[in-house]
Amino acid sequence: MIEFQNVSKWFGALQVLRDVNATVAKGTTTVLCGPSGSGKSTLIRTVNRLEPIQKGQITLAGRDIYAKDVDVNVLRSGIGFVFQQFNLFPHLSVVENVMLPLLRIRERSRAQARPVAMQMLERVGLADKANSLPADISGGQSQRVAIARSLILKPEVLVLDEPTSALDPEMVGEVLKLLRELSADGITMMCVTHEMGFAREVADRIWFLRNGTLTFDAEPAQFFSDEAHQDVRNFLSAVRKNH
Amino acid sequence: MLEIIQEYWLLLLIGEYPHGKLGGLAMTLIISFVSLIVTFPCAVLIALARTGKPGIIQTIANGFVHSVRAIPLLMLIFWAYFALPMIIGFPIDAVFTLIVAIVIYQTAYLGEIIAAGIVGLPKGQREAAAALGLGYIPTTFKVILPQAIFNVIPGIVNQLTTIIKESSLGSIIAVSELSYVMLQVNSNEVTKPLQIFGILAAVYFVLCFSLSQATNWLERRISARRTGQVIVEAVA
Amino acid sequence: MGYQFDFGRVLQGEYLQLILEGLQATMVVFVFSWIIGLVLAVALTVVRAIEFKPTQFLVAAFVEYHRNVPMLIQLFVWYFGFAVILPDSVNDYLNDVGAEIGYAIVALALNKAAYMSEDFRSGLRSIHPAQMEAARSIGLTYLGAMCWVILPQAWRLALPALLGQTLILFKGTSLAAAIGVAELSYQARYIEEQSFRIFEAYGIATAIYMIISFAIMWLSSILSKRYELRVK
Repeated sequence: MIEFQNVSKWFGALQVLRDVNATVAKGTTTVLCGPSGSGKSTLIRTVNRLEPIQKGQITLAGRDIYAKDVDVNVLRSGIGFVFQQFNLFPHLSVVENVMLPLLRIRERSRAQARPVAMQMLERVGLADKANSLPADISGGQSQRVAIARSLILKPEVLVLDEPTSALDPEMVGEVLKLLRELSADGITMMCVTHEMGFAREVADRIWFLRNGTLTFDAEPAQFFSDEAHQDVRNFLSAVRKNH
Repeated sequence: MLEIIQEYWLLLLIGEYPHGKLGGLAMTLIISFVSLIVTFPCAVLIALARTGKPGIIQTIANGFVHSVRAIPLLMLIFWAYFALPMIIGFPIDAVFTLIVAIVIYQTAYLGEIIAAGIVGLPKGQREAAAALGLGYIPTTFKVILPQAIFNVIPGIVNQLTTIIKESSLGSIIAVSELSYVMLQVNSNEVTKPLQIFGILAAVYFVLCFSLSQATNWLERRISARRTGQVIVEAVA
Repeated sequence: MGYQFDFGRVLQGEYLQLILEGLQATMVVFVFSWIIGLVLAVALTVVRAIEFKPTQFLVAAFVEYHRNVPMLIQLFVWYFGFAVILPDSVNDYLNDVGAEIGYAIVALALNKAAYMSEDFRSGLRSIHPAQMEAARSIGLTYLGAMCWVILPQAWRLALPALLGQTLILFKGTSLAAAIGVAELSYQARYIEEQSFRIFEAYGIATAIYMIISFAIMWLSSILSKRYELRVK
């Protein structure tokens, strides 16, 4: 579904992605992890061209995302992106946030868009907060609204950048539960996270990045075993110490 | 343009002194600084009233501030110009009425700024002072006000800029400040208003722009040493 | 004091007529300056947002001129200075038609445009850059993102400052008296000179200013609360 071929990226003189080669198969869930500054967030942000790349190629469903005939806005509306800080639009209510892509990109009328948005809110368990403002709902609820907004145009791919890192611990569970359900439903998912329990349960593959290099790419069973790369084992033992 | 400056520069700087009253830019600066100095204690009192205990004093202070903000400065100047001599019983120079009007007007606005400074201090300051057994007067004058005023120094300098601009209204009641002097030069010269008023605008510009640059510099220096958060909206 | 109040004298006949005409002139200057100023402020903000140093500098210079020169002087520059640039025939025509009010509107509008564009700019700057990212991520074009996500937030953030400028503009109309516009404070002074009724003449004008100012302040408070943008 998504292929990274020799992808490299520099921020000025600093190289943040070094020759990344990997594939995300359709319908699978891939978790990216690694220490801070490893490039994992940067890597997933290249998928919808939020971060441009200087070398290599990225294909989505077989098409080069930088091909001349690819409209970046059409590309992005086919990819659901969820931010660590939710980034809901504060001037719109919850349901209006979810409706916005339908209204302004698909150009549906309000009468058409509202029921679809309400259905999506029910799916994430927030139909009762439809008319609330983002400032009045909790972090966990905000992130679920953000996920609803990212899925409203029925994208083929869902990309999440540390979706639970900004949440208070008691709210992490509700978001991970939703992501588990979405993964089971069959959407192609790429998720950067520190939640190793989630990775172990849900991921089809786990990618470990360090210093911009994809050091290890394996199934969970292998990832959490002694056969894993030394860097991975060091990272996991450091993470375990804090949980 | 240069001929005008060459011919009238002394007039513009100090008016008709020593043959007549002091005027021009010197007068503008005197009016501005005197106004600011007289306003300052009044503004502090207003700020204390507005941020203190609710009661008759706070209500009066609030009423004062809201009323003054609802009136154009020009009307206050007219009031002071006509009513003040009547009230005190003998005629006084227009300069004093101008200063009185500006002081009343700016007490309200500067009061708001200082109040913002007081409110922006961490609550802990008052609590710590109380814990030390300090009463209201020592707490206010030795703990709260010094910090509050330090934090809003940029705002105070900004008000000085505003006062300098407001002093130009003296020209309407024939106070010999810079603008009035320029109006006289204009009626003398007749044919060169663009140069004359261009120079006038330029002088104010240099004065106010320098002060606002100083304000920015102060703002940066003070941010580093500030206690608490101060949010001061633009006042005029 | 021995002053006999006589409000009746001022509030009738010719004087009342003058007060009403003054109020009308004040409102005309206020409304036209506000509308023109607001439209111009939006234009200035847009121009300044375009990454082209020369135009950005021009807008910045425009703003700094209007912020650092007293409003009264700006009126003088237009009324005395601009007239010199125009040919005599145009000036004669304008003077017949009552040019002072036009100059007052132009001067006040430009002044307010400068201040209001700064308020818009401030509003735009306080929006987190991640908002634009989020808007683009769902597939909105740059224009779409500005229209539906950024600008709706920007004007809400700028609203309190804009309403403050509105009050300042209303009070600023009084300065038009200095270039001969027969607005409220001009009429008050005229009536006072004619009738020697200082307190009555200025009292009524002050009361009218206060009533309208309080109305503006009340409206501002309602609108600010209604459109407050809470970002959490």
